[in-house]
Amino acid sequence: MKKLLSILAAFAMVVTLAACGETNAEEQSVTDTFEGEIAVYTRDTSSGTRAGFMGFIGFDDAKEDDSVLVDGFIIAGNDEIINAVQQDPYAIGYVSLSTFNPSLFKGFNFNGVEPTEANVLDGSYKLARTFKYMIRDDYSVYGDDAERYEQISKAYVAYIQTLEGKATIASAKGIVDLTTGDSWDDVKADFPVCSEDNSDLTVKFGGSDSVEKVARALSPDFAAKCGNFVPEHNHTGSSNAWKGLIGGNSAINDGLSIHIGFLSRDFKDSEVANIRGVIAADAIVAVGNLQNPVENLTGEELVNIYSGEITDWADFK
Amino acid sequence: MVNIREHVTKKNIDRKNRTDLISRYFFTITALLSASFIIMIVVFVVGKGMQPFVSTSYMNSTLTGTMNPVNFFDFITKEMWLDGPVGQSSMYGIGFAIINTLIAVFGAIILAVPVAILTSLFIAKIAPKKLAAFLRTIVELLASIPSIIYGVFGLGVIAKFVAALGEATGNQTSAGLSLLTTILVLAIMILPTITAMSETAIRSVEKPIIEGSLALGASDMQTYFKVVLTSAKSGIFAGVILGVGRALGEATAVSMVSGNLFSGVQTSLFGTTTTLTSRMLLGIKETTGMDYDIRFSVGVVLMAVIIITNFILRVAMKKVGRLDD
Repeated sequence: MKKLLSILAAFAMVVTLAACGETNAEEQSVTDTFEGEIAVYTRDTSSGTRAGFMGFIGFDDAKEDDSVLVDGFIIAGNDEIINAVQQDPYAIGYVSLSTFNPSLFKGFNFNGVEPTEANVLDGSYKLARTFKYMIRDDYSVYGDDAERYEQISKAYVAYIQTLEGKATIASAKGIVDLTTGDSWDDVKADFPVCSEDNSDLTVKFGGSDSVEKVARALSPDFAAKCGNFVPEHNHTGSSNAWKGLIGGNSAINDGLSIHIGFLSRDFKDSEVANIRGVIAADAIVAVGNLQNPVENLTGEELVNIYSGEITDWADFK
Repeated sequence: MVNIREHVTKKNIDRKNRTDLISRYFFTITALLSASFIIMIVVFVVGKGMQPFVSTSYMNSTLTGTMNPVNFFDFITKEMWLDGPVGQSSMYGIGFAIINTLIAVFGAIILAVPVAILTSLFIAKIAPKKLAAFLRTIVELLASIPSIIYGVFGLGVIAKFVAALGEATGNQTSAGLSLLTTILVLAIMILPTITAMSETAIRSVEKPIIEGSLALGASDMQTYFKVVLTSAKSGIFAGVILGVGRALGEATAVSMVSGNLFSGVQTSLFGTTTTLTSRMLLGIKETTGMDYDIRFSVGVVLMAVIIITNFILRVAMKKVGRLDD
């Protein structure tokens, strides 16, 4: 019985200690010294967000390799990271900009630039990539349908810059500037092909699979507005965009031949086309707890955190 | 009046025998079927789990060559899940997770067993009949709660408590994901199992033994602790074995609160940990090839750990039981 009592007493002491802790924590947050072991959260190796983040900060080795990461890192899903940075004052993680909520947790500035859609779109926020589009230069291979294919492709390029097109892109988590642009009703007169019946045409989309979600959202939306052409998607990688449009795979009977191609990286010097541009952007934010006074992180600092060179928030002063 | 003899004809007897025979075959088939599932599962898991150690035909992720087979000895001793990129390296290791699993289960047993024994003693001997029936129902209900519920409870309540406790004692936690949280969740999960078994064991202690103790002048409490518990020892131990089995095999709740440590043995209560089950579960839906099959290898190791632990506990139980004589 005595043993039992002493166990109970010990438990009571622990509970009282926990109660004391609440006041300690408040005192701590008032002082401006922020220190504590950095709790590193990451997505698992199959995540595209992880590959993007590690690539942007210059830590390519960590894209598919957990063993180069700091000891004690925690693998978590998108929601789990959001949850963790709200509760753990020492946490660091990364989420895509579309799920970032500045009122619930902190988004670190990257190289001094705030993570906002405006900064992504003007290219100053570098923890981001833009999705590109590209269309054919030469439609002669399509014979009688050449003119219609060319007009539909050009109408598509116009459509993704209209308010309706941008709203569709935004619904598929692509970052676009929704404040500017014409309405489709104002520009569709320039594309008479869209008021014809195009249900006999198959328009092929391809290129980057990262852009597939945005492209697949746009296709049915635009097809309905442009004579119900039949969209076909075959996303095999950014490099196949130019090849299927203009390069070696552009012949009409080639399996990779397409009408509109997408890239999730910058155009290479060799990838020239008369009509090409940016369709949307995708950005990642390094996130932490609102209590964390650190505002800015550089790519090098993020690499040091994820590799374990820097392990304490006290090192940021 | 019915003359029974009229019904006892050869035809009727034959028919009855036939029905008997058919039912016997039918029951045998169902029994064989359920037994064969065990065999099928073992054959499938072991077969798939052996692949990473013997097969040389796993393509690497760049499709430029094949991957080396995993070294079994390294696998069960190494302190890092995977040294190198997924789909390139075959240097998997699970040794740290075996140790971490045993630490977590041991911690849960240490916490749960005393509470379970005292609870069962209360329900079986001390509580008034109505209260005892009520508590018994509660314990049975607890045992039937799915583990995912324990998981969300652990994440939403226990992890927050542990995070606060860590802060109060100057121990940093990762949002409360820790060894302590894992131990607490496991302890709560196995509590009803051990309590139910112990309660049955305590209730089945024969009255004359208790009355004998009381007649010798022992107090109620002395009788409960020195006589009743000692007599119910082997039944309580059987409950502990069941509890250990449940704790070892628990995956969902544990993977939600453990933090899924990637490498190293965790001995700090406030550090993250991992178990064999949560390692199996982590990312299994998003991977292929060797990285997928290696999870079956972990399953084989888990089954081995459970069988060995069970064996050791049963030997221990026999020793404990013998002391009764």
